[in-house]
Amino acid sequence: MQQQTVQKRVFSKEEWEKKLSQVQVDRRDLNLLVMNYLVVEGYKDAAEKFSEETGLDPGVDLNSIAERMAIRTAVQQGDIDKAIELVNDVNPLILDSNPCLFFHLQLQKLIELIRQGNIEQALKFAQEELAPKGEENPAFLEELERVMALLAFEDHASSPVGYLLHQSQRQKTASELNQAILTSFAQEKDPRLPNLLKTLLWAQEQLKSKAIFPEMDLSTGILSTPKE
Amino acid sequence: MERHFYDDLQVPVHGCVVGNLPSEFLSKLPSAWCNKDKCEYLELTKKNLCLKYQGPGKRNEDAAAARTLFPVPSGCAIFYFEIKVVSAGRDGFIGIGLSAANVSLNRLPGWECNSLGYHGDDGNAFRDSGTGTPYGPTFTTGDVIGCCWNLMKGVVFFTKNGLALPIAFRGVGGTLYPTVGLQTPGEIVEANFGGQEFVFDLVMYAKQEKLDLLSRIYSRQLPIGEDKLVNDILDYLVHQGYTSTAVSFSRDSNQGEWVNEQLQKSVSRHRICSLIHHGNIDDAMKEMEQAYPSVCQNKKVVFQLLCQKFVEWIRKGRVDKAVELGKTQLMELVTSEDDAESANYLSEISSLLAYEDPINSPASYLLDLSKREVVAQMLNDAFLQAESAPRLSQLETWTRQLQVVFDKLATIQDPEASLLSLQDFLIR
Repeated sequence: MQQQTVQKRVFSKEEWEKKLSQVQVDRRDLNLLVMNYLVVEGYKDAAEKFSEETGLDPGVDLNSIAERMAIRTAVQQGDIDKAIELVNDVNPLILDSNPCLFFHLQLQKLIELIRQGNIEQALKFAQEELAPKGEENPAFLEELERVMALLAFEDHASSPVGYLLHQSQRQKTASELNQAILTSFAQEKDPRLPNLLKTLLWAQEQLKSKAIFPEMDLSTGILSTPKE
Repeated sequence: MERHFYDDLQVPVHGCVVGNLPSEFLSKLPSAWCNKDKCEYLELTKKNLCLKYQGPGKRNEDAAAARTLFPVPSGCAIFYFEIKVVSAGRDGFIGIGLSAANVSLNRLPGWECNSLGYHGDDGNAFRDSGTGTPYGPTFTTGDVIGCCWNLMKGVVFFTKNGLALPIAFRGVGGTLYPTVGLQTPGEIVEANFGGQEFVFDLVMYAKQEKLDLLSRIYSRQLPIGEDKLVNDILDYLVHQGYTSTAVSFSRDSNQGEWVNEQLQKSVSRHRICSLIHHGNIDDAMKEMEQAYPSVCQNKKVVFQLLCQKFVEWIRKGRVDKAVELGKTQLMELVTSEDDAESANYLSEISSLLAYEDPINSPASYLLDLSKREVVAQMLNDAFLQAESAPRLSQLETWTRQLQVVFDKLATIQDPEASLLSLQDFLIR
């Protein structure tokens, strides 16, 4: 394959916005995308309400979501022991066959202990339960060290690893657990919306190698202004 | 990945190419041998698919090649064609491969620069050279040989009787034509450019390649967190007026405050949509007069609302009320607007009056609850316009951007992107 130096094509913002305004997006399609997210992520009530408001069929038995929802809620409220108990009720193999997930749940428990100011218990838990696993696996050790760094600061939240105390950290753990449960049911385990966004990122990079165009920033939704 | 996902995976196959191509390319796919771009020693039959060697067949220079009219489109993901060796003739000196437009037609594919091929007599692979390298089995009468060019990876491999052989060439690019070369009397080959089913399972191969691409894309990290995603879905729900869903979702995802704030801004808009969802058109119209007087001036909107009211009366079995509404307000609107579309819709819903049991009548589709949703959405759009809130939700903005980027990737002929489409995420 010969490497050619091709002049990059430039698409002006004006031209681009005109194209954007011409795209037809079927609202039903977007609704399906949202329904898929609610069902896969285990938001039973919301899926039910959404089905009522849009007339869309959720595509699965919503009751099967209830179990997953209870587990997700437990994690989101920081009650990791309860979440572990509930997962084992559904299927004990889920955690047995997934040491990485189990480690992340225990890490989350450690974070919760630190959040509660239960430092003594946190240290004991880290030394007895987590450190041995960290010795076996360098990746685990690194994650454990990051959590332990919270303890180095009097005000945990303002430490460089303060983000571990954010709600989004619970969400992340909850999603990982939820995906493992879905996999055990042989259901679609990834919601489609995040994949659509990953594809958008990929496609923009792909196009960037050959053209200059208004790129969209995912966090703000704002289009860049291409410079020639 | 799981089996079920694999089964659901859609790949765009158009005859001999895999990939979504702009229509101007789809009408120019290689589909037969070109009767001008072939050596004179070859006889062309069966709708220009079958080639028979008629030359002297004495020296290498007596070789005879044929190319297709159109080259492989460079924006497709995978290209594939097959030949069946009808007869190996005297010596079975048969080559299949690809070559550029200017390569001599008195050569087997692979012997000259800008050509490559797989030869039946020795099973060797040739590229830009008269000396081949050992590659696969030999082939002869009755065998079906395929040539597959994966443009995403720039590799070419061949198939024999449906089985894939290893990769023969890497770094293959440029404008190339499917090519076949014959060299001794009696040799006959018949090509298949997707007009018939291939012996090789091209669809399965394309699915594997697509999965490979998708897993590369999906293994990326998103630069936004889960909470941002949740927020954008909430934004969509609020934006579209799915209030109960928004309230429930925000509660269960612990993002309640944000939604309350948003909902406060447009309580009326959501209340009206919710009234429509419950079939309460009268109260919806009353609230509309208070909150959005300008929208009440829009006759099209009012007409749609009254039509829905008509339908709701019928649903309740109040034919008398429906008839009254039809005769007075609805007729007036249709007459004053002189709009054929409205008149048609009015006569359509009036057909409900003809049945004693409308719910089990052929017109029952008009009573479908989804019609309420249609009306609610129309109102929501009109309200948003009146509020001059951003017309598009974040979710829709992303989707549109992806579509435009896909379109542009197609015009610059990106092979990988041709395997994907927005539909991959939308179909159930």
